[in-house]
Amino acid sequence: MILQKVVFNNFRQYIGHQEIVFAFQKHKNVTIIHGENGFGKTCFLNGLLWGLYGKNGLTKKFSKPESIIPDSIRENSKKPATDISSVELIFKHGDYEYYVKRSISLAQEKATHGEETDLELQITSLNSGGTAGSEKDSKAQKRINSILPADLRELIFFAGEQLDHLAMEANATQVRDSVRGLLGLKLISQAIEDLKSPSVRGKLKDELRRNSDNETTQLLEQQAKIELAISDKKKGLETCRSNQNALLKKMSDINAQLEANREARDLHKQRTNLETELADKNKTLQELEKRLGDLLAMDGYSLFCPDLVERGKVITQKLHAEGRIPARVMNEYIHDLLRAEICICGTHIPKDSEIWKKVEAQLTNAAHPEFNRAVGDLYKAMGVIEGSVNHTRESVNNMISLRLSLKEASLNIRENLDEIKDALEGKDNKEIHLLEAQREKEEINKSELLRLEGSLSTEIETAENEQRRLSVEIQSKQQKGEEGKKAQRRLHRLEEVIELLERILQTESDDLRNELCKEIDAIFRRISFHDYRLELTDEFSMRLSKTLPGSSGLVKVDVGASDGQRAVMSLVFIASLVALAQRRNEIPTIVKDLHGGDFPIVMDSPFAQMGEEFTAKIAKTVPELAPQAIVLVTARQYKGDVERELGLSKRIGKRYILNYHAPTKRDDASDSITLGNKKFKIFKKDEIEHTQIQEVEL
Amino acid sequence: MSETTRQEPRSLKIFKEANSEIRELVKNIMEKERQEQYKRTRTDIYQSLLEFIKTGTP
Repeated sequence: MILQKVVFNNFRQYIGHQEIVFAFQKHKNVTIIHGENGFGKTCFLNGLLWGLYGKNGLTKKFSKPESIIPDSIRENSKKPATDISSVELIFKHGDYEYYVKRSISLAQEKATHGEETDLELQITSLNSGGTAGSEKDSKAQKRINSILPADLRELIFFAGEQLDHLAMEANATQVRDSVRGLLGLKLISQAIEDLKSPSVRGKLKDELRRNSDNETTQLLEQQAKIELAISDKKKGLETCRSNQNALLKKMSDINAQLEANREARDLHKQRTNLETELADKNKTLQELEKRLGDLLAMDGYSLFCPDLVERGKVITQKLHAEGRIPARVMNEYIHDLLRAEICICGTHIPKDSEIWKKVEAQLTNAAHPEFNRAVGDLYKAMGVIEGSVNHTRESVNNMISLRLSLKEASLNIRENLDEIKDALEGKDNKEIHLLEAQREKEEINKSELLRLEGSLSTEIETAENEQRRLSVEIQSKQQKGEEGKKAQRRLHRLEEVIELLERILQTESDDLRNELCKEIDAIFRRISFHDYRLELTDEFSMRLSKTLPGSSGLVKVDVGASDGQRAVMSLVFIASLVALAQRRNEIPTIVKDLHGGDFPIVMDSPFAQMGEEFTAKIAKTVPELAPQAIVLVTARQYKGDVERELGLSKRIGKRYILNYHAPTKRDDASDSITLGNKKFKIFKKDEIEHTQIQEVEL
Repeated sequence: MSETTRQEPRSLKIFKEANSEIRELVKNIMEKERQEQYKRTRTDIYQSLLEFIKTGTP
């Protein structure tokens, strides 16, 4: 999906006919739209989303989504059926060029409260051979969804202030689903979900229940109860995770307010640094404890062995001195002599004669051929254990002392944090007191949510194991009647199909994750802060780590990410996904007809949350993030690093400014903007609020 | 083109290891999902999947 052009006709504050042609050439792929806060940047982003997905596609920040028609038209309308808002989009995807038009009249808007998403939707496609096709309404919507599914729109069209959410651990499921969705595996996951639904698996179970003996019926009922409990717990887990996200957002707002407060700023900054340091220490401590656990599990036994090894040495030395180890005569040799009926001196000894029996008695002193090898192994094992004792003891001692120093350092940080909290509470400032109280409350909520998440996850795992066990038991029950046998067979087949599809999905997801990790690593290295590494874990959560010297070489340690780092991590993830979608057909897959495709990245104020330290690097990377980049940005965010880096890239193909006409503007919005050495007036007092798009060339 | 292009997908090996009856069911179920993937409600697809499993496993 490479956007070529958008046309707004009376879309909210974009009154009249207004259009933008985007930059979509390979070496001129960046479009910049300059707009102050409140001048129509978010409305522009939502115009694109409304055009593609209707009301359900709009962002949460878009107020009054049921009213697309501009207020000035609504209030003065004489013919509601002909007062129309529309968005037209032209984009390319694969071999096709698409024209999409969505429109709504005031009469329709009033009748439906803007609910219908495909009320007046039309899509026309034109392939490279010049053949055109056209679809309307729900079919047109399906076509758009087949290019970019509605639930993935926020990956491509996003607002900067919401950018950090993908990097939160609680959103790993969303990350995994995004990967599967954009890269074509949704089909398999949807099939699994459909097969597991009460309308498919549930009905087959009903059939079995109706046709089976009491014992199987009881097992099926028991399983149904467990399934219900799992479903409730999963919903609970989902709520818990979304509460965690809301809480992180709240904490970030409280922190921003404390930073804005002149009296609290310095102390709060100190606290933020200390909290990051504490999170790092805790992560290091966790890693260390895991390594200590692993070491003790693998080699811990050796610490209890020195006495045993000593005793072993005494015994083996004694046996050696007595000539019993290693064995000097092998019993195979004695057997050969007995079979041949000759003595060791060559004399014939008839079988069962007295001398023959004397030779046979020597078998008790001779050894099996494996005996000497075992003796060798024993010497070696004692040597290994002896060597391991010292190494293990030294490693354990080092780790214990490192753990102690980490705990002491954490304790010191906690004491400092308490002092900062006391100092802040001691300030004669009501706002600080209020914010500190809120912060404390949220910290308690955070711990409770973490505990709840842990216990729910364990309960789900236990219930799922029990469910699997019951499935096996149900399948093993012998049904007597033909109908019962048939029902059991069908259910058994269904479970086998589900299991196979789950294994296929898991394997394909793992392969994609590995490829995605390569992309993430390549992009992150260009932006990377210090010696950090970013990767996607097996559970699809983003992991930021750094390498530290440890007792046995370099150790990778997880680090807690700041709000700015999380925004960067999310952006890197999106860019990696877009890059992988571009080369989807290079990755082996079992799913047929997967071609992937080019996608743009449309960013509303992407630099808002990243912080100054990352702005320059991100700005420099923007043209490389996706085949097409559309950036909506305020004058303040643009000035300096962003202007310099984007200018140097020479990749800006189109540039527009949003001219705002209204009775008033926000205080933080400038009324003019200077680009290069040209100054543009961007605010004009006017009774009717509206935005005019103006193309500028520098 | 990457190294992986020349390889067979790992999932295909898993698929091939399943017995022929299951393979056939999986293939047809996926085909049904593909045909119906943008349906507005899932009721119809549930029905057709259910019928398919019943007839596919007589």
